[in-house]
Amino acid sequence: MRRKQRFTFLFFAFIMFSGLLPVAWANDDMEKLKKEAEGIISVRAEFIQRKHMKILARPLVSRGIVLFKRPKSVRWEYLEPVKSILLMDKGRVRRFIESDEGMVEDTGAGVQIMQFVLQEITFWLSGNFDQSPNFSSTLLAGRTIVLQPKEESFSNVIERIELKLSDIPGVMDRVTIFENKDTYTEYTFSNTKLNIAIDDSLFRNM
Amino acid sequence: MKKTDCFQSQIDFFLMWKLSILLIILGISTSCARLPDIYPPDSSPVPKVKLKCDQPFLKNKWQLVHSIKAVLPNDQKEVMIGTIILAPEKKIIHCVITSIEGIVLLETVYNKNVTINRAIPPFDSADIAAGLMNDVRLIFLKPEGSLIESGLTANGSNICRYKKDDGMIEDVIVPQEGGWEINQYDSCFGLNRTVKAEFLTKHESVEMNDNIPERLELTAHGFLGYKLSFDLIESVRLTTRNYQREP
Repeated sequence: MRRKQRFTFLFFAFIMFSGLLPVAWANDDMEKLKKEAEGIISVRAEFIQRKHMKILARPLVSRGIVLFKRPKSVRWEYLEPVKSILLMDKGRVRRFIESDEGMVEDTGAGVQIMQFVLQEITFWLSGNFDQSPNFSSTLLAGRTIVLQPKEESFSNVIERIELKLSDIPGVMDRVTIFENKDTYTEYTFSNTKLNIAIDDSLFRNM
Repeated sequence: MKKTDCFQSQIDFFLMWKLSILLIILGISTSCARLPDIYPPDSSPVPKVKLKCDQPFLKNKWQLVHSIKAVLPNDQKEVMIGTIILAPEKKIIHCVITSIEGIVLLETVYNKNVTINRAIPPFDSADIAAGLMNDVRLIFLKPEGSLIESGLTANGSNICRYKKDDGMIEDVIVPQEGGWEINQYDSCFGLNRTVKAEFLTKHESVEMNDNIPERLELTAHGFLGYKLSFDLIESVRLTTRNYQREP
């Protein structure tokens, strides 16, 4: 009987402790990740975007290049299949899409959506994973951060985002945006270069 | 004024009103357009031209990915990625419109009726989904109506004319030099939709009896007209193994 009581105590103690453990560990490491990223001034990386849906026999694949410069400049450029460039310079977003008349500025509804997305990307690339007003962040083992929408209306569009960080400080290996369990978009980064000189004009013009 | 005169004037007014309505109806009916002529009428039991007219329509299951450039009624231009999964034999279509960045804007299925699985504004409208499916059906599926005429157009292209139950007419035109065209007319023969297909590379062989054009252009005519240009990114032949499900 005493043995059973001791087992029960140990079981609950383990559950309680293991419940607290990730919180303390995650907070410590989130700070560590932020520190790691503090030294990053600029990033250049190639990416492959794969859209997965249950209905698709083959994922939809796009390729491109991303440039980032502190504090809030991003150039997200698709090279194929459709050439398009998203520019964010000090918070202002512009989008250009290839057309029969060359690269044309798009002023449609998509720009507002991307303004929001690029804003989030600047948080990730500068290591401020817990600074987003729209997502709450949790650090998991294996340098993976899970972001979950704070507002329910937003979670109808994005269920969660997973960021897989590289062992190299400041480098992101993969970002996965889950719309639901069957639909997600995976961005895999490669040839990442840190702290290289990037001309400011690349964030303002095509 | 006598009471009978008053009554007479009321009858006159009523007759005049009826006559005006009749004239308006007559005016509308006589203002109907005329369909293009077909020469010479092909009256053989299985018209050879009909086989040519079957060419544009897919016979097998496919996953087609296009970049879609839309010019909307307010001259607003949008670029999207359109993925169309077709099962022609069962007339089932699954259509996914995503932004270039991969966000699903609209996911809809046609299986006798149109169902919206997922949509975000401004695509969260039953009319948009139904309109999209009507356009996709017009482009990729053989007309549902009965073949009422076939032959050649004035410039020598093969033409088949189908009439649907609702009175709509669809002309499928296959020129000798390649490509194809579909003209859809309303019941008053007004041009409703035009589809033009273009092959940018020479197609010596037809894959699995299906000829998939690299470029398609759909024009919706009229006051709220729009234009959709489809550029083929990828075509994947679907089998029972990789055709995920029939919605």
